[in-house]
Amino acid sequence: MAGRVNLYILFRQIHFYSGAFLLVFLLLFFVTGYLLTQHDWFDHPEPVQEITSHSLPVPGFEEESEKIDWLRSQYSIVGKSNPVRQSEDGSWHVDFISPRHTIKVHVFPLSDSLSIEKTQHPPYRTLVVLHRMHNYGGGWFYNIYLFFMDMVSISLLIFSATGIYLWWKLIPSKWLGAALLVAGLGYVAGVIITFLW
Amino acid sequence: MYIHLYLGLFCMPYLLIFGLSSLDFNHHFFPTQTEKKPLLPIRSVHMPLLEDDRILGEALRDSLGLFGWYLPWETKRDSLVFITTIAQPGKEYHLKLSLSNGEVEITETYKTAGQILRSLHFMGESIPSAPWWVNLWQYYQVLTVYSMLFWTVSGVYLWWRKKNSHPAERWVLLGMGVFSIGFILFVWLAG
Repeated sequence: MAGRVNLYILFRQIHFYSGAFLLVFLLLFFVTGYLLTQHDWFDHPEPVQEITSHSLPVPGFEEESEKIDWLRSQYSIVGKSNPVRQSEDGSWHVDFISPRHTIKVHVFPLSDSLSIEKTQHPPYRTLVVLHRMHNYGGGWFYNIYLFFMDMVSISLLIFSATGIYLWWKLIPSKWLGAALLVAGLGYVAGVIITFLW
Repeated sequence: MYIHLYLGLFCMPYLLIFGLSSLDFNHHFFPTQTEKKPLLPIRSVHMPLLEDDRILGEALRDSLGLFGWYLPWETKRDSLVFITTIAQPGKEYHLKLSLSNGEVEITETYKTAGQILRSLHFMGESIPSAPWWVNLWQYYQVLTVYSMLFWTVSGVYLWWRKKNSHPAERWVLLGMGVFSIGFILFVWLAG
């Protein structure tokens, strides 16, 4: 009996602490996700774009990370860097995306020049970036952000499993809970089957 | 506490979908290859020859009893045929309408279960001509989002009024909250 009680307390603590530690991130992802579906609530102004051209010797690079580090140090560029794209004419291109802006850099080593296109994000786009920042890499604090995003995802699985266990142990009369659980599962299964029918 | 529990039981499947699909967005473990089915039997439709591609594509979809979004970028026509694609989370229907006799060739491409879960993650709008229960999904999504707000508030409340919580716990959780807000602001403003 004591073992059972301990398991209940353990599950309750896991359920609570996984939520409490990630509370702010949970709210962030759910609120931004919901707002993204409310496209009409936001103004969608023309993006403010600033393009600058620069001439300077472009060194040769061994690694992709050297190119990104060089751009960051030369032009104080911030944002999560995407993979570098190489063109056949020898030029290379890289995008830096942050909640506030997108910066597209086009580097032309043959002519020792580059151009920087900076686009300021309106509020809706900021929400998009905060919610849809995916794939590790591109800066250490973006990796931490994505780690928390993964933790939130895992916590949703934990809530589900521990929540069912807690309901089962806590509520003597099971019929209403069972009906709601079956209704939710049945509804989701019904929608998926409709897609595949 | 009862509302906390019962809402959780009803919305649990969507939490699983959110959790699994969000992990996949970062780690890409769901298979993405689609499966093309053999050509379905040719069907005939009787409809006026409409000039506007979108109107014709949507009318074709409805006359065939399909549902999904009309894809303008996969649509083309000449004097003999009209080709378009109708897409929904589980399938794509590639339609080839003969403009001379009204016969339609239909090819179905099935998406994977993982792709369906990804679609359900963000499906917050109606799918044209879909059955009513499919278009209820947006309300199930809203219910889950508002439930998440309720769970966080009620969860903290239930814990706060608990008599045997250690004072240090409150400081740890408060610290985690301050760190989280500070970190998100840092990513937003300095990232």
